[in-house]
Amino acid sequence: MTSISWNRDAAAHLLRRAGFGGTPAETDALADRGLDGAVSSLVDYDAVDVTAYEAALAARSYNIATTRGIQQWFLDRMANSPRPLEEKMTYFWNLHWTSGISKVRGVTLMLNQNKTARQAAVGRFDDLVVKMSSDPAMLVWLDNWLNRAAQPNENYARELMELYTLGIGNYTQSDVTALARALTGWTVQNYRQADNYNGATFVNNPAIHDNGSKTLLGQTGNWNPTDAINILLTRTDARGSVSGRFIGAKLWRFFVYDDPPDFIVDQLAAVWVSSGRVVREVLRAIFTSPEFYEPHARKTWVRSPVEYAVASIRMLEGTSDFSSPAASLNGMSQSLFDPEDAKGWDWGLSWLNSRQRR
Amino acid sequence: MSFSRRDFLLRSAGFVTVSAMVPKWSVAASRGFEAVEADAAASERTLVILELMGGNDGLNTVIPYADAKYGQLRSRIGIPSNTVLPLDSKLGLHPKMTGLKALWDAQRVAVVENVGYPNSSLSHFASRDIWHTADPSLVEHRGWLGRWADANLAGNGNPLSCTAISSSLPRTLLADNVQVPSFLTLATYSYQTDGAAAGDRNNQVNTFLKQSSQEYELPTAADAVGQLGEDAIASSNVLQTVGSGYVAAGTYPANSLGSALLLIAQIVNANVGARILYATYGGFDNHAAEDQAHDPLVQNVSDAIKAFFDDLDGHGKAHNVLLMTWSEFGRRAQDNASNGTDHGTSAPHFVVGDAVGAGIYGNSPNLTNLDSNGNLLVENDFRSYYGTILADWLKADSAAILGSGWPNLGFLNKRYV
Repeated sequence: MTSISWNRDAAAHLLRRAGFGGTPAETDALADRGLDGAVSSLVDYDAVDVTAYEAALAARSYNIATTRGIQQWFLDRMANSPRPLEEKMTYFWNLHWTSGISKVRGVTLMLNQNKTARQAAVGRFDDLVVKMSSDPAMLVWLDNWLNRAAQPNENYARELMELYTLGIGNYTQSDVTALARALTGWTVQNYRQADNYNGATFVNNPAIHDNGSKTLLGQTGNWNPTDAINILLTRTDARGSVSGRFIGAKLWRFFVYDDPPDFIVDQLAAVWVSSGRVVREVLRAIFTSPEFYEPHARKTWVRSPVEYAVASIRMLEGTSDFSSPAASLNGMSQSLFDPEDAKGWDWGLSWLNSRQRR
Repeated sequence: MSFSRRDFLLRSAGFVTVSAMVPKWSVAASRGFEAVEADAAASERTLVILELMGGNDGLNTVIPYADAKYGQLRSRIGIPSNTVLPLDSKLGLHPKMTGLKALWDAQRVAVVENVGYPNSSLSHFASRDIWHTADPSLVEHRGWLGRWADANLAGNGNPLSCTAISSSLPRTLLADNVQVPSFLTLATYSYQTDGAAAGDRNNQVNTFLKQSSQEYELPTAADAVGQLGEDAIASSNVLQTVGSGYVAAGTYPANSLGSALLLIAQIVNANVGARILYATYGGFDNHAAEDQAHDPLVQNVSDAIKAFFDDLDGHGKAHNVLLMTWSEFGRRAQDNASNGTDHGTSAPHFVVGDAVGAGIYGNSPNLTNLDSNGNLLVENDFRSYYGTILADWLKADSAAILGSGWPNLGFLNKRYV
């Protein structure tokens, strides 16, 4: 294994990937911390005081009752938060676990989902899965709020395995049906036009839960949603943790490059297991790995429109009320909080029209 | 007015199109105009693809209204048999599809029934990739029409041979050697600079490109990316002109599909050598409340296609245009308890134009012989559906693109073939 040559260029690379780029002064400061210190300053961001920034953000009084307002609010955070990785990871979970205002309709529900993702962004993945699976916007977006015993609705169950935790090929159609049955009962109340669809709250309604026996990924029992999520996340095969490989590979793709070699994915899956599925530790492993700093990994990133706009402002110390960037992003086909479908936006080369990721 | 580099980048942040993120642009923008004009006469036939994203419910689009089993399976969201628009004694169109029915009555619609592929994936994303590439093994990276484009269009100098009205490049058109402009509206498909200094546009563009080339260096793809930038500028400059003074001869619905097909009609009528034009329309993943959601969707599809052909007729262009629909899958035969349908397999698709042999190709869906998941069995392989269009409309060697053994379905059997 090669060693990492830590220098200013490496620090700038880290800041571009783990955040949205930095000013020359920020890059210098990060370089001075050394590799482990620099990575820790980004990854262990709970230690970074955000009081002043939060006060400044609140003082800007974005109209968070509107879609444009929450777009401005999120763009401001990405451009200005002293915790860049917190915002980068919130953006990542927005891409991974997307929902859209076009169907959800409640602006507050969309804002709350963003806050939920931020709050659980780098902690134990199990907590994030439970929180997103009981998030009102997600329950509406993929219809689980209408999933009932007798003739279940498979929408969320399928994507929970395919897009969010395991990846295609690691489950069968009968697992989709079983999971859909297990997820019955997690719904919302007070989702109604009278308050612009903003009043919905999560509720566990046993009256519509399927109490029959379900066989999910080979395990049989009267599983409830929490049981089922645990079965997904503890799933192993001959190679190891299925969720660890799936999330580890996706994080690598997002932060480094496409198609990570198997040994890297297996290393990340091992960290996943040893840490008890703590996302922060997988990120630390990525940012301290020699492969992250190889020439192959550098300056090969095509920024999404959101990253492009945010990085331009952040690196150049610009100021903005983010109204016009938010509007321009619509024209660039990346209208925040309004993706085209359940898979959300991709990243990297897919933003160049000549190529789509294979 | 002059700008410092920093001022310029700050002003432009958020004001550039997707295509503006590429490095190394040459902005000798007029290159390509002459070639485009010269190609116009050679452009004989245009294929329009309409992708219905999310998995359209075929059973509630072309309804087997005479089959009692349909009413049983669709007890919650079934279309009453006395409301359908009959095509024959077994099948009828959704009652909101009066526009398409008018085209049917004019002998301009082929309905191809039960189209799918073996061992259907019930994943949106896997199934889309299969339909896009025409390769159920998911080995082929290019799209089926991308392969056609590589063989027939590469190097023709026309940046508009294939164009998608879509927020991203549809993989159907992914080619190794043909760039495909993809955009939703003309207003956004241009390099936008500070409107307060319009006369300084070229300086701004050049400044931006010089400053950007380092940040987005792609050593393995630099040439391709540079070419993409040139093509984007060229196609954008041509496209900015196609809408001016255009008078539509059809009444398009006021929605994204209406806008997309109007734009496609404008491109057709601009005689810029467009061969493949692609539109997407989303919202078909109706797992819940389909009884409310699906009616306007099929109505919009029907109204937009009718307006499109009215418009082409008014401009004398309909004989040069064929439109085909596809969707990643149909839906479960039985509706679910949330008044929707889950992911299914085969479905009917429409081919519209003067060249079709009007009629229904295939049988009424068999609702009593379902697979173990309760889904329909495939009757017509989608490679036969594609192959018929490749062979009879594009006059291509369909076996070279799709492999051999896919029978021609014969739905283009008029004087055109």
